[in-house]
Amino acid sequence: MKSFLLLPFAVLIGILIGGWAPREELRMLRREMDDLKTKTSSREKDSRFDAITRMVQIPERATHVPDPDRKPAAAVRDTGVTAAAPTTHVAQAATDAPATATNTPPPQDAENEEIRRTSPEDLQARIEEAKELWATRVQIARSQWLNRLKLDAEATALFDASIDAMNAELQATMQGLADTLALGEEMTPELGVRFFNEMTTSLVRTYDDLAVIVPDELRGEASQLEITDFIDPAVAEPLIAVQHKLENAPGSSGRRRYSRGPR
Amino acid sequence: MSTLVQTWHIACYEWFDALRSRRALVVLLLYLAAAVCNMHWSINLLHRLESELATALQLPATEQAGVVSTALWKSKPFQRMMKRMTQNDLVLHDITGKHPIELIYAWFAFFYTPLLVVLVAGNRIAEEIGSGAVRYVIFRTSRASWSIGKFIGQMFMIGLALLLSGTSAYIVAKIRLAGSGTPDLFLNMVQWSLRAWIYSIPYLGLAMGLSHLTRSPSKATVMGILAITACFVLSILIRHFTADTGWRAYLPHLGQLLPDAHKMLLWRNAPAPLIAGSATLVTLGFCYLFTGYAFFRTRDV
Repeated sequence: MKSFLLLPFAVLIGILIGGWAPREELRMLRREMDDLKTKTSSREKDSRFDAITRMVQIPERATHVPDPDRKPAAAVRDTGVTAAAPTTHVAQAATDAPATATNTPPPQDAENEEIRRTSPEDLQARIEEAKELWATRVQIARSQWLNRLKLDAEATALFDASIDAMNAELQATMQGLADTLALGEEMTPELGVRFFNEMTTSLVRTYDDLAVIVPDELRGEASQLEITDFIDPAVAEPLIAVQHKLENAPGSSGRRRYSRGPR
Repeated sequence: MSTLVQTWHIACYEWFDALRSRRALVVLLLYLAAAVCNMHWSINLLHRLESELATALQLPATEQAGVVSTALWKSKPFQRMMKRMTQNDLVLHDITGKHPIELIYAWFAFFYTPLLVVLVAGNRIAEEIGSGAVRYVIFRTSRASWSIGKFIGQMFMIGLALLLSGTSAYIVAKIRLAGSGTPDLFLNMVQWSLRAWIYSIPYLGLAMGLSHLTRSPSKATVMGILAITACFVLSILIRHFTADTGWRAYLPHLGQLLPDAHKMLLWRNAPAPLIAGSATLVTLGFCYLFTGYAFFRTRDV
Protein backbone atom coordinates (compact mmCIF):
# COMPACT_ATOMS: atom_id res chain seq x y z
CA MET A 1 0.00 0.00 0.00
CA LYS A 2 2.85 2.34 0.86
CA SER A 3 4.37 1.92 -2.56
CA PHE A 4 0.97 2.61 -4.14
CA LEU A 5 0.75 5.86 -2.20
CA LEU A 6 4.10 6.92 -3.61
CA LEU A 7 3.15 5.92 -7.14
CA PRO A 8 1.36 9.18 -8.14
CA PHE A 9 4.35 11.22 -6.95
CA ALA A 10 6.70 9.05 -9.00
CA VAL A 11 4.43 9.45 -12.04
CA LEU A 12 4.26 13.22 -11.51
CA ILE A 13 8.04 13.49 -11.25
CA GLY A 14 8.29 11.38 -14.40
CA ILE A 15 5.86 13.65 -16.22
CA LEU A 16 7.72 16.77 -15.11
CA ILE A 17 11.21 15.51 -15.92
CA GLY A 18 10.15 13.66 -19.06
CA GLY A 19 8.32 16.68 -20.37
CA TRP A 20 11.08 19.14 -19.53
CA ALA A 21 13.15 18.65 -22.69
CA PRO A 22 10.20 18.61 -25.13
CA ARG A 23 8.72 21.67 -23.40
CA GLU A 24 12.02 23.54 -23.69
CA GLU A 25 12.32 22.61 -27.35
CA LEU A 26 8.72 23.61 -27.92
CA ARG A 27 9.35 26.94 -26.21
CA MET A 28 12.34 27.64 -28.40
CA LEU A 29 10.49 26.61 -31.55
CA ARG A 30 7.54 28.79 -30.57
CA ARG A 31 9.88 31.71 -30.04
CA GLU A 32 11.48 31.15 -33.43
CA MET A 33 8.04 30.85 -35.00
CA ASP A 34 6.93 34.10 -33.34
CA ASP A 35 10.05 35.83 -34.63
CA LEU A 36 9.37 34.55 -38.11
CA LYS A 37 5.73 35.60 -37.90
CA THR A 38 6.78 39.07 -36.75
CA LYS A 39 9.24 39.33 -39.62
CA THR A 40 6.66 38.10 -42.10
CA SER A 41 4.02 40.51 -40.86
CA SER A 42 6.49 43.38 -41.01
CA ARG A 43 7.24 42.41 -44.59
CA GLU A 44 3.53 42.35 -45.28
CA LYS A 45 3.32 45.98 -44.25
CA ASP A 46 4.02 46.65 -47.88
CA SER A 47 5.72 50.06 -47.86
CA ARG A 48 5.95 52.29 -50.88
CA PHE A 49 9.65 51.50 -50.83
CA ASP A 50 8.83 47.82 -51.38
CA ALA A 51 6.71 48.76 -54.35
CA ILE A 52 9.64 50.64 -55.85
CA THR A 53 12.16 47.86 -55.29
CA ARG A 54 9.70 45.30 -56.64
CA MET A 55 9.22 47.32 -59.79
CA VAL A 56 12.95 47.47 -60.46
CA GLN A 57 13.35 43.74 -59.72
CA ILE A 58 15.39 44.08 -56.52
CA PRO A 59 14.94 41.09 -54.17
CA GLU A 60 13.25 41.68 -50.79
CA ARG A 61 16.26 40.30 -48.91
CA ALA A 62 19.85 39.74 -49.93
CA THR A 63 20.90 36.10 -49.72
CA HIS A 64 24.50 37.06 -48.99
CA VAL A 65 25.23 40.16 -46.99
CA PRO A 66 28.34 42.13 -47.96
CA ASP A 67 31.57 41.74 -46.03
CA PRO A 68 31.51 44.17 -43.09
CA ASP A 69 35.11 45.20 -43.80
CA ARG A 70 34.25 46.15 -47.34
CA LYS A 71 33.04 49.67 -47.97
CA PRO A 72 29.94 49.92 -50.15
CA ALA A 73 31.23 50.20 -53.67
CA ALA A 74 30.07 52.88 -56.02
CA ALA A 75 27.62 51.56 -58.57
CA VAL A 76 29.14 50.52 -61.84
CA ARG A 77 26.64 49.81 -64.52
CA ASP A 78 27.29 47.46 -67.35
CA THR A 79 25.17 49.41 -69.79
CA GLY A 80 27.19 52.56 -69.36
CA VAL A 81 24.09 54.55 -68.63
CA THR A 82 25.30 55.64 -65.21
CA ALA A 83 27.92 57.86 -66.70
CA ALA A 84 25.29 59.66 -68.68
CA ALA A 85 22.93 59.94 -65.74
CA PRO A 86 22.31 63.30 -64.05
CA THR A 87 25.04 64.16 -61.62
CA THR A 88 23.24 66.55 -59.29
CA HIS A 89 23.80 64.23 -56.38
CA VAL A 90 22.18 66.20 -53.59
CA ALA A 91 21.24 62.91 -51.94
CA GLN A 92 24.78 61.63 -52.19
CA ALA A 93 26.01 64.88 -50.70
CA ALA A 94 23.52 64.50 -47.89
CA THR A 95 24.89 61.01 -47.21
CA ASP A 96 28.45 62.19 -47.33
CA ALA A 97 27.78 65.29 -45.25
CA PRO A 98 27.89 63.74 -41.78
CA ALA A 99 31.11 61.97 -42.60
CA THR A 100 32.82 65.14 -43.75
CA ALA A 101 31.36 67.38 -41.11
CA THR A 102 32.35 65.10 -38.27
CA ASN A 103 35.37 63.13 -39.24
CA THR A 104 34.70 60.47 -36.63
CA PRO A 105 31.02 59.59 -36.38
CA PRO A 106 29.66 58.61 -32.94
CA PRO A 107 30.47 54.93 -32.24
CA GLN A 108 26.80 54.04 -31.72
CA ASP A 109 25.84 55.52 -35.09
CA ALA A 110 28.74 53.81 -36.76
CA GLU A 111 27.69 50.51 -35.23
CA ASN A 112 24.08 51.00 -36.34
CA GLU A 113 25.28 51.89 -39.81
CA GLU A 114 27.45 48.79 -39.85
CA ILE A 115 24.53 46.60 -38.75
CA ARG A 116 22.27 48.20 -41.31
CA ARG A 117 24.84 47.83 -44.07
CA THR A 118 25.41 44.17 -43.33
CA SER A 119 21.74 43.26 -42.92
CA PRO A 120 19.97 41.35 -45.72
CA GLU A 121 17.31 44.09 -45.80
CA ASP A 122 19.84 46.78 -46.66
CA LEU A 123 19.23 48.23 -50.12
CA GLN A 124 22.95 48.29 -50.96
CA ALA A 125 23.23 44.53 -50.34
CA ARG A 126 20.04 43.84 -52.25
CA ILE A 127 21.10 45.93 -55.26
CA GLU A 128 24.54 44.33 -55.34
CA GLU A 129 22.93 40.92 -55.42
CA ALA A 130 20.32 41.91 -58.00
CA LYS A 131 23.01 43.42 -60.25
CA GLU A 132 24.95 40.17 -60.36
CA LEU A 133 21.87 38.27 -61.43
CA TRP A 134 20.60 40.97 -63.73
CA ALA A 135 23.59 40.98 -66.05
CA THR A 136 23.14 37.29 -66.87
CA ARG A 137 19.37 37.40 -66.83
CA VAL A 138 19.07 40.39 -69.14
CA GLN A 139 21.47 38.82 -71.65
CA ILE A 140 19.29 35.70 -71.83
CA ALA A 141 16.07 37.71 -72.05
CA ARG A 142 17.59 40.00 -74.69
CA SER A 143 18.72 37.05 -76.85
CA GLN A 144 15.29 35.43 -76.55
CA TRP A 145 13.44 38.57 -77.53
CA LEU A 146 15.76 39.50 -80.38
CA ASN A 147 15.15 36.05 -81.78
CA ARG A 148 11.40 36.18 -81.11
CA LEU A 149 10.96 39.62 -82.65
CA LYS A 150 13.26 38.75 -85.56
CA LEU A 151 15.22 42.01 -85.28
CA ASP A 152 18.06 42.81 -87.70
CA ALA A 153 21.33 44.50 -86.65
CA GLU A 154 19.94 47.99 -87.03
CA ALA A 155 16.76 47.20 -85.11
CA THR A 156 18.82 45.44 -82.42
CA ALA A 157 20.88 48.58 -81.91
CA LEU A 158 17.67 50.58 -81.60
CA PHE A 159 16.26 48.00 -79.19
CA ASP A 160 19.36 48.30 -76.96
CA ALA A 161 19.26 52.06 -77.19
CA SER A 162 15.63 52.23 -76.09
CA ILE A 163 16.33 49.91 -73.15
CA ASP A 164 19.33 52.02 -72.17
CA ALA A 165 17.28 55.16 -72.49
CA MET A 166 14.62 53.63 -70.28
CA ASN A 167 17.18 52.77 -67.62
CA ALA A 168 18.67 56.25 -67.85
CA GLU A 169 15.25 57.82 -67.43
CA LEU A 170 14.44 55.58 -64.50
CA GLN A 171 17.71 56.43 -62.81
CA ALA A 172 17.07 60.12 -63.39
CA THR A 173 13.62 59.70 -61.80
CA MET A 174 15.10 57.86 -58.82
CA GLN A 175 17.77 60.54 -58.49
CA GLY A 176 15.09 63.22 -58.57
CA LEU A 177 13.17 61.49 -55.79
CA ALA A 178 16.31 60.95 -53.72
CA ASP A 179 17.25 64.62 -54.11
CA THR A 180 13.78 65.75 -53.08
CA LEU A 181 13.84 63.56 -49.99
CA ALA A 182 17.42 64.54 -49.14
CA LEU A 183 16.35 68.20 -49.19
CA GLY A 184 14.02 67.43 -46.31
CA GLU A 185 10.71 66.71 -47.98
CA GLU A 186 8.53 63.94 -46.63
CA MET A 187 7.48 60.96 -48.72
CA THR A 188 3.89 62.04 -49.14
CA PRO A 189 1.28 60.00 -51.05
CA GLU A 190 1.24 62.70 -53.71
CA LEU A 191 5.00 62.51 -54.17
CA GLY A 192 4.75 58.73 -54.36
CA VAL A 193 2.04 58.81 -57.02
CA ARG A 194 3.95 61.38 -59.09
CA PHE A 195 7.08 59.28 -58.81
CA PHE A 196 5.28 56.13 -59.94
CA ASN A 197 3.71 58.07 -62.76
CA GLU A 198 7.14 59.14 -63.99
CA MET A 199 8.43 55.59 -63.77
CA THR A 200 5.51 54.03 -65.58
CA THR A 201 5.64 56.81 -68.20
CA SER A 202 9.23 55.76 -68.94
CA LEU A 203 8.12 52.15 -69.30
CA VAL A 204 5.22 53.09 -71.57
CA ARG A 205 7.55 55.19 -73.68
CA THR A 206 9.83 52.20 -74.11
CA TYR A 207 6.87 50.09 -75.29
CA ASP A 208 6.08 52.87 -77.77
CA ASP A 209 9.68 52.83 -79.00
CA LEU A 210 9.58 49.07 -79.41
CA ALA A 211 6.36 49.31 -81.37
CA VAL A 212 8.20 51.45 -83.89
CA ILE A 213 11.27 49.18 -83.99
CA VAL A 214 9.58 45.81 -84.44
CA PRO A 215 7.95 44.85 -87.75
CA ASP A 216 4.21 45.49 -87.94
CA GLU A 217 3.28 41.81 -87.95
CA LEU A 218 5.16 41.25 -84.66
CA ARG A 219 3.73 44.17 -82.70
CA GLY A 220 1.36 41.87 -80.85
CA GLU A 221 4.35 39.75 -79.91
CA ALA A 222 6.26 42.81 -78.67
CA SER A 223 3.42 43.69 -76.32
CA GLN A 224 4.12 40.37 -74.53
CA LEU A 225 7.59 41.61 -73.59
CA GLU A 226 7.97 42.06 -69.85
CA ILE A 227 9.79 45.36 -69.88
CA THR A 228 10.57 45.28 -66.16
CA ASP A 229 12.91 42.35 -66.86
CA PHE A 230 15.20 44.85 -68.58
CA ILE A 231 15.34 47.34 -65.72
CA ASP A 232 18.82 47.55 -64.32
CA PRO A 233 18.64 47.23 -60.50
CA ALA A 234 21.41 49.81 -60.29
CA VAL A 235 18.88 52.51 -61.22
CA ALA A 236 17.73 52.34 -57.62
CA GLU A 237 21.15 53.21 -56.22
CA PRO A 238 20.35 56.89 -55.63
CA LEU A 239 17.71 55.67 -53.15
CA ILE A 240 20.32 54.07 -50.88
CA ALA A 241 20.96 57.43 -49.29
CA VAL A 242 17.28 57.94 -48.45
CA GLN A 243 16.31 54.32 -47.73
CA HIS A 244 15.26 55.13 -44.14
CA LYS A 245 12.85 57.82 -45.31
CA LEU A 246 11.21 55.53 -47.84
CA GLU A 247 10.89 52.64 -45.39
CA ASN A 248 8.99 54.83 -42.95
CA ALA A 249 6.56 56.01 -45.60
CA PRO A 250 3.06 54.45 -45.45
CA GLY A 251 2.38 51.78 -48.02
CA SER A 252 -0.39 51.08 -50.39
CA SER A 253 -1.93 48.40 -48.12
CA GLY A 254 -2.12 50.83 -45.22
CA ARG A 255 -3.85 53.61 -47.12
CA ARG A 256 -7.38 54.59 -46.37
CA ARG A 257 -10.02 54.34 -48.99
CA TYR A 258 -12.12 57.39 -49.52
CA SER A 259 -15.32 57.35 -51.44
CA ARG A 260 -14.92 59.47 -54.51
CA GLY A 261 -18.45 60.83 -54.47
CA PRO A 262 -20.29 62.21 -57.45
CA ARG A 263 -18.15 64.03 -59.99
CA MET B 1 -9.87 -8.50 2.64
CA SER B 2 -7.54 -6.93 0.14
CA THR B 3 -6.88 -3.22 0.14
CA LEU B 4 -8.57 -2.72 -3.22
CA VAL B 5 -11.78 -4.39 -2.08
CA GLN B 6 -11.76 -2.33 1.11
CA THR B 7 -11.30 0.84 -0.93
CA TRP B 8 -14.17 -0.18 -3.20
CA HIS B 9 -16.43 -0.79 -0.19
CA ILE B 10 -15.61 2.65 1.23
CA ALA B 11 -16.39 4.22 -2.16
CA CYS B 12 -19.74 2.36 -2.31
CA TYR B 13 -20.54 3.38 1.24
CA GLU B 14 -19.80 7.00 0.31
CA TRP B 15 -22.54 6.67 -2.33
CA PHE B 16 -24.92 4.91 0.05
CA ASP B 17 -24.33 7.53 2.72
CA ALA B 18 -24.87 10.33 0.22
CA LEU B 19 -28.18 8.80 -0.92
CA ARG B 20 -29.31 8.14 2.66
CA SER B 21 -28.55 11.66 3.78
CA ARG B 22 -30.06 13.21 0.60
CA ARG B 23 -26.63 14.77 0.00
CA ALA B 24 -26.45 13.10 -3.42
CA LEU B 25 -29.74 14.73 -4.34
CA VAL B 26 -28.43 18.14 -3.29
CA VAL B 27 -25.26 17.64 -5.33
CA LEU B 28 -27.24 16.59 -8.40
CA LEU B 29 -29.66 19.48 -8.03
CA LEU B 30 -26.80 21.92 -7.63
CA TYR B 31 -25.15 20.75 -10.84
CA LEU B 32 -28.45 20.56 -12.73
CA ALA B 33 -29.42 24.05 -11.64
CA ALA B 34 -26.02 25.41 -12.65
CA ALA B 35 -26.18 23.76 -16.09
CA VAL B 36 -29.83 24.63 -16.82
CA CYS B 37 -29.57 28.25 -15.66
CA ASN B 38 -26.31 28.76 -17.47
CA MET B 39 -27.69 27.33 -20.69
CA HIS B 40 -30.91 29.34 -20.47
CA TRP B 41 -29.12 32.64 -19.81
CA SER B 42 -26.46 31.93 -22.39
CA ILE B 43 -29.07 31.32 -25.09
CA ASN B 44 -30.87 34.53 -24.10
CA LEU B 45 -27.63 36.49 -24.24
CA LEU B 46 -26.58 34.92 -27.52
CA HIS B 47 -29.98 35.62 -29.04
CA ARG B 48 -29.81 39.26 -28.00
CA LEU B 49 -26.29 39.63 -29.31
CA GLU B 50 -27.22 38.02 -32.61
CA SER B 51 -30.31 40.22 -32.99
CA GLU B 52 -28.19 43.33 -32.40
CA LEU B 53 -25.61 42.10 -34.86
CA ALA B 54 -28.27 41.35 -37.47
CA THR B 55 -29.70 44.86 -36.99
CA ALA B 56 -26.25 46.43 -37.32
CA LEU B 57 -25.58 44.45 -40.49
CA GLN B 58 -29.05 45.34 -41.82
CA LEU B 59 -30.07 41.70 -42.02
CA PRO B 60 -33.44 40.20 -41.10
CA ALA B 61 -33.52 39.20 -37.42
CA THR B 62 -33.18 35.46 -36.75
CA GLU B 63 -35.79 33.64 -34.69
CA GLN B 64 -33.34 31.10 -33.23
CA ALA B 65 -30.10 31.86 -31.43
CA GLY B 66 -26.94 30.32 -32.83
CA VAL B 67 -27.64 30.83 -36.54
CA VAL B 68 -25.61 34.04 -36.85
CA SER B 69 -22.83 32.74 -34.57
CA THR B 70 -22.47 29.55 -36.59
CA ALA B 71 -22.11 31.61 -39.78
CA LEU B 72 -19.74 33.98 -37.99
CA TRP B 73 -17.47 31.11 -37.01
CA LYS B 74 -16.91 30.36 -40.67
CA SER B 75 -15.76 33.90 -41.52
CA LYS B 76 -12.00 34.43 -41.75
CA PRO B 77 -11.92 37.81 -39.93
CA PHE B 78 -13.80 36.30 -36.97
CA GLN B 79 -11.42 33.33 -36.92
CA ARG B 80 -8.47 35.73 -36.93
CA MET B 81 -10.05 37.65 -34.05
CA MET B 82 -10.55 34.43 -32.08
CA LYS B 83 -6.98 33.40 -32.82
CA ARG B 84 -5.67 36.60 -31.31
CA MET B 85 -7.98 36.14 -28.30
CA THR B 86 -7.18 32.50 -27.54
CA GLN B 87 -3.47 32.83 -28.45
CA ASN B 88 -3.51 29.10 -29.03
CA ASP B 89 -3.69 28.07 -32.66
CA LEU B 90 -4.13 24.37 -31.92
CA VAL B 91 -7.10 24.80 -29.57
CA LEU B 92 -8.67 27.31 -31.93
CA HIS B 93 -8.25 24.89 -34.82
CA ASP B 94 -9.98 22.15 -32.81
CA ILE B 95 -12.91 24.24 -31.61
CA THR B 96 -13.51 26.06 -34.90
CA GLY B 97 -16.84 25.10 -36.40
CA LYS B 98 -18.34 23.77 -33.17
CA HIS B 99 -21.77 25.02 -32.19
CA PRO B 100 -21.52 28.16 -30.01
CA ILE B 101 -23.91 26.68 -27.42
CA GLU B 102 -21.69 23.67 -27.02
CA LEU B 103 -18.69 25.92 -26.45
CA ILE B 104 -20.54 28.11 -23.99
CA TYR B 105 -21.51 25.01 -22.02
CA ALA B 106 -17.93 23.74 -22.12
CA TRP B 107 -16.56 27.06 -20.92
CA PHE B 108 -19.04 27.23 -18.03
CA ALA B 109 -18.50 23.59 -17.09
CA PHE B 110 -14.75 24.17 -16.85
CA PHE B 111 -15.36 27.36 -14.90
CA TYR B 112 -17.90 26.28 -12.27
CA THR B 113 -16.90 22.63 -11.73
CA PRO B 114 -13.82 23.32 -9.56
CA LEU B 115 -15.84 25.63 -7.33
CA LEU B 116 -18.74 23.20 -7.02
CA VAL B 117 -16.33 20.35 -6.30
CA VAL B 118 -14.81 22.26 -3.39
CA LEU B 119 -18.23 23.25 -2.04
CA VAL B 120 -19.64 19.72 -2.30
CA ALA B 121 -16.69 17.50 -1.35
CA GLY B 122 -14.35 19.85 0.47
CA ASN B 123 -15.65 18.99 3.93
CA ARG B 124 -16.29 15.24 3.56
CA ILE B 125 -13.20 14.02 5.42
CA ALA B 126 -13.08 16.84 8.00
CA GLU B 127 -16.74 16.11 8.79
CA GLU B 128 -16.03 12.50 9.73
CA ILE B 129 -12.84 13.33 11.60
CA GLY B 130 -14.70 16.04 13.52
CA SER B 131 -17.69 13.84 14.40
CA GLY B 132 -15.45 10.90 15.31
CA ALA B 133 -17.15 8.60 12.80
CA VAL B 134 -13.79 7.81 11.29
CA ARG B 135 -12.76 5.90 14.45
CA TYR B 136 -15.32 3.18 13.72
CA VAL B 137 -14.15 2.79 10.13
CA ILE B 138 -10.40 2.64 10.69
CA PHE B 139 -10.87 -0.34 13.02
CA ARG B 140 -11.92 -2.36 9.99
CA THR B 141 -9.78 -0.82 7.25
CA SER B 142 -6.57 1.13 6.75
CA ARG B 143 -6.52 4.91 6.78
CA ALA B 144 -5.18 4.95 3.22
CA SER B 145 -8.07 2.81 1.95
CA TRP B 146 -10.53 5.07 3.76
CA SER B 147 -9.07 8.25 2.20
CA ILE B 148 -8.81 6.77 -1.29
CA GLY B 149 -12.27 5.18 -1.05
CA LYS B 150 -13.89 8.47 -0.09
CA PHE B 151 -12.00 10.23 -2.89
CA ILE B 152 -13.10 7.69 -5.51
CA GLY B 153 -16.69 7.77 -4.23
CA GLN B 154 -16.81 11.55 -4.52
CA MET B 155 -15.10 11.44 -7.89
CA PHE B 156 -17.77 9.20 -9.39
CA MET B 157 -20.58 11.17 -7.76
CA ILE B 158 -19.30 14.35 -9.39
CA GLY B 159 -18.90 12.45 -12.68
CA LEU B 160 -22.55 11.41 -12.59
CA ALA B 161 -23.66 14.92 -11.64
CA LEU B 162 -21.72 16.40 -14.55
CA LEU B 163 -23.10 13.82 -16.96
CA LEU B 164 -26.66 14.67 -15.90
CA SER B 165 -25.93 18.40 -16.06
CA GLY B 166 -24.66 17.95 -19.64
CA THR B 167 -27.84 16.07 -20.56
CA SER B 168 -30.08 18.69 -18.96
CA ALA B 169 -28.15 21.49 -20.70
CA TYR B 170 -28.74 19.68 -23.99
CA ILE B 171 -32.48 19.39 -23.25
CA VAL B 172 -32.66 23.15 -22.58
CA ALA B 173 -30.73 23.82 -25.80
CA LYS B 174 -33.05 21.48 -27.72
CA ILE B 175 -36.15 23.26 -26.44
CA ARG B 176 -34.78 26.76 -26.96
CA LEU B 177 -32.99 26.14 -30.28
CA ALA B 178 -35.04 24.22 -32.77
CA GLY B 179 -32.14 23.78 -35.18
CA SER B 180 -29.64 22.56 -32.59
CA GLY B 181 -31.26 19.37 -31.41
CA THR B 182 -28.95 17.13 -33.33
CA PRO B 183 -27.45 13.92 -31.88
CA ASP B 184 -24.01 15.40 -32.57
CA LEU B 185 -24.61 18.19 -30.13
CA PHE B 186 -25.80 15.77 -27.44
CA LEU B 187 -22.73 13.58 -27.76
CA ASN B 188 -20.47 16.62 -27.83
CA MET B 189 -22.03 18.07 -24.70
CA VAL B 190 -21.68 14.77 -22.88
CA GLN B 191 -18.09 14.68 -24.03
CA TRP B 192 -17.48 18.16 -22.59
CA SER B 193 -19.03 16.96 -19.30
CA LEU B 194 -16.51 14.11 -19.21
CA ARG B 195 -13.65 16.49 -19.91
CA ALA B 196 -14.85 18.85 -17.19
CA TRP B 197 -15.02 15.86 -14.86
CA ILE B 198 -11.38 14.99 -15.53
CA TYR B 199 -10.48 18.63 -14.96
CA SER B 200 -12.31 18.51 -11.61
CA ILE B 201 -10.24 15.56 -10.30
CA PRO B 202 -7.16 17.57 -9.19
CA TYR B 203 -9.42 20.13 -7.49
CA LEU B 204 -11.25 17.32 -5.74
CA GLY B 205 -7.89 15.91 -4.63
CA LEU B 206 -6.84 19.33 -3.42
CA ALA B 207 -10.05 19.93 -1.48
CA MET B 208 -10.09 16.45 0.06
CA GLY B 209 -6.37 16.57 0.77
CA LEU B 210 -6.83 19.80 2.70
CA SER B 211 -9.83 18.27 4.44
CA HIS B 212 -7.44 15.85 6.17
CA LEU B 213 -5.82 18.76 8.02
CA THR B 214 -8.79 19.91 10.10
CA ARG B 215 -11.69 18.64 12.18
CA SER B 216 -13.96 21.53 11.23
CA PRO B 217 -16.05 21.04 8.03
CA SER B 218 -16.48 24.79 7.55
CA LYS B 219 -12.72 25.35 7.91
CA ALA B 220 -12.12 22.64 5.34
CA THR B 221 -14.49 24.34 2.88
CA VAL B 222 -12.81 27.70 3.42
CA MET B 223 -9.37 26.13 2.97
CA GLY B 224 -10.56 24.49 -0.25
CA ILE B 225 -11.92 27.77 -1.63
CA LEU B 226 -8.71 29.56 -0.72
CA ALA B 227 -6.65 26.78 -2.32
CA ILE B 228 -8.46 26.88 -5.66
CA THR B 229 -8.29 30.69 -5.64
CA ALA B 230 -4.55 30.40 -5.01
CA CYS B 231 -4.29 27.93 -7.93
CA PHE B 232 -6.00 30.36 -10.32
CA VAL B 233 -3.99 33.35 -9.09
CA LEU B 234 -0.69 31.45 -9.29
CA SER B 235 -1.48 30.33 -12.85
CA ILE B 236 -2.14 33.92 -13.87
CA LEU B 237 1.01 35.16 -12.13
CA ILE B 238 3.13 32.45 -13.74
CA ARG B 239 1.78 33.32 -17.18
CA HIS B 240 2.38 37.01 -16.51
CA PHE B 241 5.92 36.75 -15.17
CA THR B 242 7.23 34.09 -17.54
CA ALA B 243 10.15 35.34 -19.61
CA ASP B 244 12.36 33.77 -22.25
CA THR B 245 15.57 34.10 -20.27
CA GLY B 246 16.78 33.92 -16.66
CA TRP B 247 15.06 32.20 -13.77
CA ARG B 248 11.66 33.29 -15.03
CA ALA B 249 12.06 30.93 -17.96
CA TYR B 250 11.60 28.07 -15.46
CA LEU B 251 8.27 29.35 -14.15
CA PRO B 252 6.18 27.34 -16.65
CA HIS B 253 7.77 24.14 -15.28
CA LEU B 254 6.58 25.13 -11.82
CA GLY B 255 3.18 25.83 -13.31
CA GLN B 256 2.96 22.18 -14.37
CA LEU B 257 2.13 21.39 -10.73
CA LEU B 258 -1.11 23.36 -11.09
CA PRO B 259 -4.20 21.96 -12.85
CA ASP B 260 -4.67 25.10 -14.92
CA ALA B 261 -1.48 24.38 -16.92
CA HIS B 262 -3.11 21.24 -18.35
CA LYS B 263 -6.61 22.59 -18.88
CA MET B 264 -6.18 23.51 -22.54
CA LEU B 265 -5.04 19.96 -23.33
CA LEU B 266 -8.59 18.87 -22.54
CA TRP B 267 -9.90 21.30 -25.16
CA ARG B 268 -8.01 19.50 -27.87
CA ASN B 269 -9.42 16.82 -30.17
CA ALA B 270 -6.26 14.83 -30.86
CA PRO B 271 -5.84 11.75 -28.61
CA ALA B 272 -2.23 12.52 -27.60
CA PRO B 273 -2.85 15.82 -25.78
CA LEU B 274 -6.16 14.54 -24.42
CA ILE B 275 -4.66 11.38 -22.91
CA ALA B 276 -1.51 13.12 -21.67
CA GLY B 277 -3.54 15.94 -20.12
CA SER B 278 -6.03 13.55 -18.51
CA ALA B 279 -3.26 11.34 -17.06
CA THR B 280 -1.45 14.34 -15.62
CA LEU B 281 -4.61 15.79 -14.08
CA VAL B 282 -5.58 12.48 -12.46
CA THR B 283 -2.02 12.08 -11.14
CA LEU B 284 -2.10 15.61 -9.75
CA GLY B 285 -5.40 14.82 -8.01
CA PHE B 286 -3.91 11.77 -6.28
CA CYS B 287 -0.73 13.70 -5.39
CA TYR B 288 -2.73 16.46 -3.70
CA LEU B 289 -4.85 13.89 -1.86
CA PHE B 290 -1.85 11.88 -0.65
CA THR B 291 -0.05 15.03 0.50
CA GLY B 292 -3.01 15.73 2.78
CA TYR B 293 -3.15 12.08 3.76
CA ALA B 294 0.55 12.22 4.82
CA PHE B 295 -0.49 14.57 7.65
CA PHE B 296 -3.49 12.43 8.57
CA ARG B 297 -1.58 9.12 8.54
CA THR B 298 -0.11 9.44 12.00
CA ARG B 299 -2.64 11.83 13.46
CA ASP B 300 -4.56 11.00 16.61
CA VAL B 301 -8.21 10.76 15.67
